[in-house]
Amino acid sequence: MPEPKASPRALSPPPLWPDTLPAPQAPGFSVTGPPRVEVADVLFGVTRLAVKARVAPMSWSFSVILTREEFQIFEGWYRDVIENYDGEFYAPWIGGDRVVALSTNYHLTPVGRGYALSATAIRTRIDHTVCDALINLWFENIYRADLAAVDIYQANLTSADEYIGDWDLELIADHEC
Amino acid sequence: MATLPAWNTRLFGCLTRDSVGIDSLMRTTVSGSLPSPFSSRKADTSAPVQLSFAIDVDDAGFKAWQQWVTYDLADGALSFTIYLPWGTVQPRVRARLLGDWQAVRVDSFRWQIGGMIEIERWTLPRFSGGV
Repeated sequence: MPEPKASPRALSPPPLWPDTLPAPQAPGFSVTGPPRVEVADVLFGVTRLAVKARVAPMSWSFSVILTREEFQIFEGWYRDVIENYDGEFYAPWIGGDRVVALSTNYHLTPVGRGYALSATAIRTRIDHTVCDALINLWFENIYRADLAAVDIYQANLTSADEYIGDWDLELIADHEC
Repeated sequence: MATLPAWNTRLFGCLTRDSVGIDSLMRTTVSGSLPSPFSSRKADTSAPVQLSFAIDVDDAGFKAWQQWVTYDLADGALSFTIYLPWGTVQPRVRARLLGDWQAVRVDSFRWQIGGMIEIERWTLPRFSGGV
């Protein structure tokens, strides 16, 4: 089966997890890293691995305690995310350029006068602009290393001690086991 | 919606906080299996909301529940209305029994009835995707 093609979104960057909502609480927060490989049992010896996927994105299960007002903000925001951004969003509490989308139903449980909202988000793609935008917002600028600095080693293939394309075949043969 | 049977609060009581769970069904389609990359797409924005409940009723309440389900709801085939706390408001929403329900005898006088309700999203307020 061919992989689905990655298609750039027309609307970018994706919406951020609203400032008016709390970040998920630590209890119930877990990160799962699925394997890219499938394990094949063998009769003898160690199992064999077969690579089955190009990437294996992490998923985040979280639980966040919301008041009634905050739940209303969440639902309004999430509805906009679905209708205009195909369900993709960026959460600073996940971070790392990772754009995510909810991959399961979200579940509400009454807690006190509010709700506990539980869901699972999965990484759908990487968007470097969203994290940069947040760093710009908080720190005003981003320092980027200048790759033209003089201490960067650049290979010079004309140098005799680096050029290894013309090893003598006899020399190789002499050193074979 | 005015002509639909309503949840009989006097006989069944209100849904208590500790016996209710709400699942908002997916309004997006996420390719949830390998091969990756995963992608998320807008799908059925009118996907319903599911509510699991358990109510504690006495003998009279249990008899009334059986009558209500059998005759008013035609064995669960018809929709009914119920007031649902949703955000800061409590809209009257349209719902139906989903699948089977169970009644368990708690003691000599009481029954615990549990089941699942499906709520039509269009009857929820606008902020949640309703009309």
